[in-house]
Amino acid sequence: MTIFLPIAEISVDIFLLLGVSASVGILSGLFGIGGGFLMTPILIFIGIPPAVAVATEANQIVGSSVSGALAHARRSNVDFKMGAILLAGGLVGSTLGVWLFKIIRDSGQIDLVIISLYVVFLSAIGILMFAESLISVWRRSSRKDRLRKLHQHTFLHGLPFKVRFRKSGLYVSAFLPLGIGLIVGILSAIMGVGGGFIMVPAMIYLLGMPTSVVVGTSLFQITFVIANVTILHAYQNQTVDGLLAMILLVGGVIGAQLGSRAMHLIRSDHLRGLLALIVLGVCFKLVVDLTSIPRNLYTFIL
Amino acid sequence: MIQIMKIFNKIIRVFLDKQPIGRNYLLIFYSFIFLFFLSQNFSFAKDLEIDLSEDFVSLTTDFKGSKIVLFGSAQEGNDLAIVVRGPKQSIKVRKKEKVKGIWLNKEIYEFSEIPSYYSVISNRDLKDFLTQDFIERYQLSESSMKIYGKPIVNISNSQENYFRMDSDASLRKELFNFKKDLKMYSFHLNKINFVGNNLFRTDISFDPGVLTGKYEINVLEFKDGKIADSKLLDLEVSKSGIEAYIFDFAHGKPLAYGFIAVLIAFFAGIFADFVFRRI
Repeated sequence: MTIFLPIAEISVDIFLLLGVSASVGILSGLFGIGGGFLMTPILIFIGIPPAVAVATEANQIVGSSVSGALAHARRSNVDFKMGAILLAGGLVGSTLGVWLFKIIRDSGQIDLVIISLYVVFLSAIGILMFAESLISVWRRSSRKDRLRKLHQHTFLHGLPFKVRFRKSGLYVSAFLPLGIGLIVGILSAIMGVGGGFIMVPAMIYLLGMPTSVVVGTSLFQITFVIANVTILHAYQNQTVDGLLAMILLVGGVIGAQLGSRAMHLIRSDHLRGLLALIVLGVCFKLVVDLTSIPRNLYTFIL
Repeated sequence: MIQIMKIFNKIIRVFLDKQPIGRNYLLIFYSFIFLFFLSQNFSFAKDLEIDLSEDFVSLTTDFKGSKIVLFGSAQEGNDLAIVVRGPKQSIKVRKKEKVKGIWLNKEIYEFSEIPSYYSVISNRDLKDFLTQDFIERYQLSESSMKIYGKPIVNISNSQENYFRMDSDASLRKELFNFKKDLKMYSFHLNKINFVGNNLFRTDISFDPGVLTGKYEINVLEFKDGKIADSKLLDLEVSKSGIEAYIFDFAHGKPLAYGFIAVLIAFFAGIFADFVFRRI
């Protein structure tokens, strides 16, 4: 059954959309990832204009991150103080991001910028994840365990305006989470992702937060940053397709529940390798689309 | 005769409003009416008379295209040409050009105030009964359509050098390919069916993507290569249903739309959390 998407202005099979969003939902449930960085490129492959894909995916992430954040808040896995400072940075960054987005869009290069950013980040994540899964498979077979230093002091800890974060057991400069929030906010607005895939490593390795509160805190701040992104995209660019977002939400929520229930059934490092391959596959397709001779040299804009 | 048809048309329309019947049934129904009148040997009016099966096209969420039947009567032996014009639009052309291995987009041209929809329908090849001069004056063929456009020149753009300017003629050709692929421009030289001697019918198709607004249908009757009669009809294409509502809302009140989109997603997330915690 095809439906006409009002903002994307194309007709798409509703079951294709549900299937795709459920599949990405399963992956996000399995791995605890947001899924935005897979969903947006897939929407572009389906034929949704990249600018609409980004803004609409942001709308979907509002829904998926809210339910994730709630689940973590119930288990008190959220550092609200840290979350608030990250959020302050994130709101500024995402507002800046949407503004940049509009400028680039008006210049006609937004598709190129979105796709290039995806190529950079997907290839980096894919390679890192693949390497990590190989190492963990190898490490288990060789039964070696490496001791990691609990806390490492770098120049980042010398920054002023230090704040104590009780929940995370940290005493760091407020500039650090502000800066992280800002950068992730910009990417969030331009790429249509929650940014968990950058936020989580940054919280662990740059801030030194305990892993138990990392995911909950990042989901907490993503919820509000991505809500800001959605509203601003709707306001400035009119690219949020409410109908598409609802369909994706339905598929995504069901998929995520299935995925999180199936988590214990599968060996994680093997699947992590598989996810890495999927990410690299999506990245490869984007590169091919970017560099191969386009089907149409001319595009007509109404 | 045509008055009777119109009354029938109204009756069918009322009937259809109450019971959703496929458009195909409607076409079959019309065919029967034609056959009925033919068998009765009515004496038909000699003037050109036309009417449409519907006065409006409604674009809904599941709009897969629509066919409207145009029917009427004309004098025996005369030729017919129908021109359907959609609302005007401006189209910018972006061209992709390879810059250091990557395809970049640039706006190079703008067609202004061109018809968004243009369809010419006739009963036989126009060249068989009209002079080239005439075809051009009435814009009855692809090459005679008046399309205005000009290159977009932006000196401040540093990528200027990479983008070749294309000739107006080649871009016009690209535009026609684009429009014809979308079925927004069409030229049918043999699509009017005569039923008997005087009655004719044809259908005008509207594919997904048609613009909303007023469509003008001009029916020209020719005798010996000259216009014998002509009639003009309007057709309204409008959006309806949730799709139209979302579009109007998103463009009319973008800030409120954004807030509501977020709120809906927000509560959907809370609802999902609530439901799945219980399962």
